[in-house]
Amino acid sequence: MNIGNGIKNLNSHLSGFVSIMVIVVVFSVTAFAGEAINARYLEPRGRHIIWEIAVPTPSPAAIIVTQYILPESEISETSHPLSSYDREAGIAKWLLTSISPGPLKMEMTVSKAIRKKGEIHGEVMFQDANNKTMASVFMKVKKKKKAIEGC
Amino acid sequence: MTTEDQIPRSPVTRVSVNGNKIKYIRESKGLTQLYVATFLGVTTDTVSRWENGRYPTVKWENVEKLAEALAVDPEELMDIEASDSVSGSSRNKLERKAIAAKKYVIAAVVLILAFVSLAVFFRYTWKSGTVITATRFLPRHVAPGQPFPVVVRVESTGGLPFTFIMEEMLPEDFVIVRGMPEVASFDTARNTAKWISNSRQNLFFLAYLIQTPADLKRIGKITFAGRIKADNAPTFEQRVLGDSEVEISNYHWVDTNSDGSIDDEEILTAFSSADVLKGLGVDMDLIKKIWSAGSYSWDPERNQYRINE
Repeated sequence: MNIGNGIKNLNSHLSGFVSIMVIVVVFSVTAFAGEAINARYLEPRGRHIIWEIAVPTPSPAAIIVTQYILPESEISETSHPLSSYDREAGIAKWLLTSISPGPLKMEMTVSKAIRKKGEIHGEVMFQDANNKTMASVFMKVKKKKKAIEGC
Repeated sequence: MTTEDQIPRSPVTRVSVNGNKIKYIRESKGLTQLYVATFLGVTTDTVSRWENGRYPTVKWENVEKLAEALAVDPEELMDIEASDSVSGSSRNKLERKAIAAKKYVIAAVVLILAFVSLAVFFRYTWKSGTVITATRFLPRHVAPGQPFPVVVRVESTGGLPFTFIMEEMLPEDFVIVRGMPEVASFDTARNTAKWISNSRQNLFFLAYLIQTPADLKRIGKITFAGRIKADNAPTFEQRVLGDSEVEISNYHWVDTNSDGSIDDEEILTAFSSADVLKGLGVDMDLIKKIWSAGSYSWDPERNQYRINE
């Protein structure tokens, strides 16, 4: 038993608290037990990287988004304030709170351009209603070219 | 009317007769064994054996004829006790069935009465059987001079709504910064905080932020104690269960594994309850800064965390 579980219970049940803010947290936490959050790259190459996270309804209270880019890369611009960046390892992190459900588009501009698949991948982490940490990895997948009808 | 009268007897049913009584009645009426034997169509030896008890049982048909010959009621000639003990007879089988049936009826009545009694008992004692429990959640450790949250889960099995009074005896010199709900009263002499609150649901959460004394230099454990009482369980008062000790250390309470950093899992746990913690006044920015930095240490001179950039 620890304070984390206690507070989690507090959020999960919430009944006694008057705070509407807490109610929002409870609803946001309880719904997606056991489900991962999907994410995908919209622009996985070049210096301007764009990706999209499908935030479920209701949304979790907090999400950690991690981008693994080329080591020693500089990050010149981000759509969301960067929480931490390990330049040597090329690991950028965001702690997102008060997230709205739906697609969440994130962008970053790096000094070293991404040229081929496997050079970059991301991770989305959150806690479900049971205090269980869930994580999903997303990366660029080479698309198969569709045959054009009539050719 | 006796029990015997109620039990049907066929002509072949065998019953015990009282030989002495037969002999006494016969002689008192001046009848000979021959007369009786002739009347019944049996030999005198048979009558003699009946009177001497050498035939333990006699056909009911003959008992009736014998009674007719002696001008008495057949029951007068019977040995009631012996008749009851005759085994294997149809009469006894019927008797046993009747007794067994009676037993079943009695057992059924007893069961029904017991069920009704239990129902009545629970109907009128349900309220007094209510149990209320309070479970405290504490962080594993805190640093001197730093605040930390305490959560108490209150659960009742009784009727709703219910009002409860909870007392928390705090460690010496510790003070409550904020409560959700607010602390109703504080006894400075006993360093005890008291809440009175009403809940419309069986589950209720109470939280408060507590400040450790800044001059607390010792490393060890501090102890919490509390008790709770509710109006839907007026005769029931119990201590607050759950965590009761917090270690005084140099680690942030969010750093549950005491590794000098707040990792992803630890910060997610804290931020999944950010609104509650913000409501209590917990410095969430500090938690975020420690997580971002990757490591921290405790500065005992300044009584604060040093973030290792």
